[in-house]
Amino acid sequence: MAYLIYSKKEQHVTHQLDYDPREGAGEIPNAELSYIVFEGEKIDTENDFITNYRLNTAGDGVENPYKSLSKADQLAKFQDDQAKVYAPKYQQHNVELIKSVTRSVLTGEYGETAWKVERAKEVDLINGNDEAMKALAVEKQAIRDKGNAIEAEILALDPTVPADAKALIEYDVAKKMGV
Amino acid sequence: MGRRVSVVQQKTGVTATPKDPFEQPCFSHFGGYYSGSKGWFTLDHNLNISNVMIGGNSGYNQWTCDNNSHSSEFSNNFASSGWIQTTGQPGSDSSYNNLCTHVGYLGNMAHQSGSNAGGNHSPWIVGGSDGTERRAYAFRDVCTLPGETHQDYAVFMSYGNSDHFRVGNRSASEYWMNQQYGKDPAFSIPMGWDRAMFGSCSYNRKRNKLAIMETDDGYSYQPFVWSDVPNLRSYAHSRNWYQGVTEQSGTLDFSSNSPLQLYFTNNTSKRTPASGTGSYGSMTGKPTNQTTEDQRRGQLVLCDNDRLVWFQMIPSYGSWVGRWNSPTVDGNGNCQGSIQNMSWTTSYGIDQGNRYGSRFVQTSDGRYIAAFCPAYYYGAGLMCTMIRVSDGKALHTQWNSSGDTIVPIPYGKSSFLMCSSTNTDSGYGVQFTRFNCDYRFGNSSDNSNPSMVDYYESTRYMFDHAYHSTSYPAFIPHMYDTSLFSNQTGDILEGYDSYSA
Repeated sequence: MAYLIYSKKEQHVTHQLDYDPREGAGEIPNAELSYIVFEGEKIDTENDFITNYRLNTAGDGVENPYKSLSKADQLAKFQDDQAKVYAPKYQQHNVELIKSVTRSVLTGEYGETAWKVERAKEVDLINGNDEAMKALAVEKQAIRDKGNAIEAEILALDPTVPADAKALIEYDVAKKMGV
Repeated sequence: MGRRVSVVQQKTGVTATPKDPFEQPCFSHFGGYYSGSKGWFTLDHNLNISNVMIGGNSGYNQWTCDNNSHSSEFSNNFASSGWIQTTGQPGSDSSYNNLCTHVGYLGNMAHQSGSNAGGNHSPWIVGGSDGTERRAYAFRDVCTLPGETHQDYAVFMSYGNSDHFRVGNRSASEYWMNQQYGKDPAFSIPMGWDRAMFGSCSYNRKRNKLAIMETDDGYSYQPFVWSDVPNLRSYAHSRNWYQGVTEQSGTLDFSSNSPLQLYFTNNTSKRTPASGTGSYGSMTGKPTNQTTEDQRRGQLVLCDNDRLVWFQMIPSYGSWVGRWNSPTVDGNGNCQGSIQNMSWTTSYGIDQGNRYGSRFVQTSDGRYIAAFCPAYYYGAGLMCTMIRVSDGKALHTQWNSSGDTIVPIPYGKSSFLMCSSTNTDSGYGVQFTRFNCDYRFGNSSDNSNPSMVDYYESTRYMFDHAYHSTSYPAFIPHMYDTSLFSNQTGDILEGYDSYSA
């Protein structure tokens, strides 16, 4: 008999205890808890991975969906599935990051007080035209286009496909943008 | 004419205004990303804010602690790399500064610790990979100080059988200078068996004893305990390796004249086991052998009753804990074998670099030591063993996460905060829980799992973080005057007696 601690965030059992960790705790709303505690058979960690145990379809217990696989295959499958758990958050965040990085480059290197802008204004003043500022505008548009292309690339990855999910987790927005 | 240099015992500050130990900085958490804000919140031992330093990214002089298109005033240029951003989980990268292996007795290797004085307690980043990896040497070699209430120094052991032992400041940056550039000598401790291991000694100043775990480099270990060891804290502070020796002009030889070196050279009779009686036995019970981490490293604790506890990370297995009986209390110094194995999956130790492997922290009063290592890859999950210094009682928790980690950070007199790298987004802020060692060691059986990590979400919505969006925080334990918790708390100063029922 053991208390299996299922993490809502990880979506698997993270550890097991000999006692009920809820004892002594106050009335905490379920929504506030990051865990669900299930009573069940103690998992034999010599021959099984605790982390294999995920919520069953009814949501009232945990089960090992990888039971029929070899131990090595269980681990590989676990990692694939875990990437799919984490990936949606990474996809959402990477989209936010590429917008943020693009904005940062535009406001930093091309902001009102940036030397490039000041210089372009003065060049245009001397030459009596707006060619230098136009050139800067073209550069800025290229940066926006690059940011948009990266965003499209991020959104094209499918977080439910293991390879794409892993790519989303490892996606380096700043590196892609070249900053 | 020569004069004698002596060590003067400091008087306790009976006339000085006592400082409230709880108002000292406890830890900082860091968050940030290239194009967003970056910074540190520092909390004290009441969980009040001690200091905040946050840089924006909207113009020069924004304290964004990094050189980028906006803030070119600082030297570091790592904002776009993993070294100084917290937008990824520890489980997905080897360079993030939120890995649990970046935290230990010496703070966080990727952040210079803030001072305990001067009003600015905020840390600052070190120079990306170079700075972090230099400071990692000290994290690899630093050893435990069980029972030490004055944690203002450190002892270090590197691998080998000579020039391997150092004492110095509690500073990873200084250790790099000393170790790599020879700014202070290394001591050679005569080996009882073969050679010492990285970080494998334990100095119990209360008992004047130094334990060293030796190895034959073949995954076998044999502990030795030295008695009547000179006061290493005194040496660490004075850095006068010739304490008590008449000062002379250019004639002092370290190996012949340093009393500390001579203590080791001339007193092998104070090392046990020198002979069989009452000695410590060889290690037994290690579940498996893997890589350099478990071949040449480990965390040793010499308890007050002469028991020894030995924690090792075993990469791509997990960890194990061996314990030795006390020759004086138990009648023999036999190894009890493995008292705890924790296993899961792929993980990495110093075989992948000095930034990885097991670490330790200890409570402010030195009565409890937490040794820990990641459960997954470079720095995710947690395998933690806490040891009670008085008797060697041990508690263990294994937390299997492939994404986040939880690190123990000393809090108050004899507690740890278990700090989670869980995403601070959704308004949650930084999440951690508290582990009261006196309480949980009191009501938990030896070798049990009191679940050190449960309810880490209990601090949700209360502790803001320096980065507004997805952020997996890094934690920086502070170095404060730990002794104040043992001699300056109100109940001590006002003479309250403990109540006995």
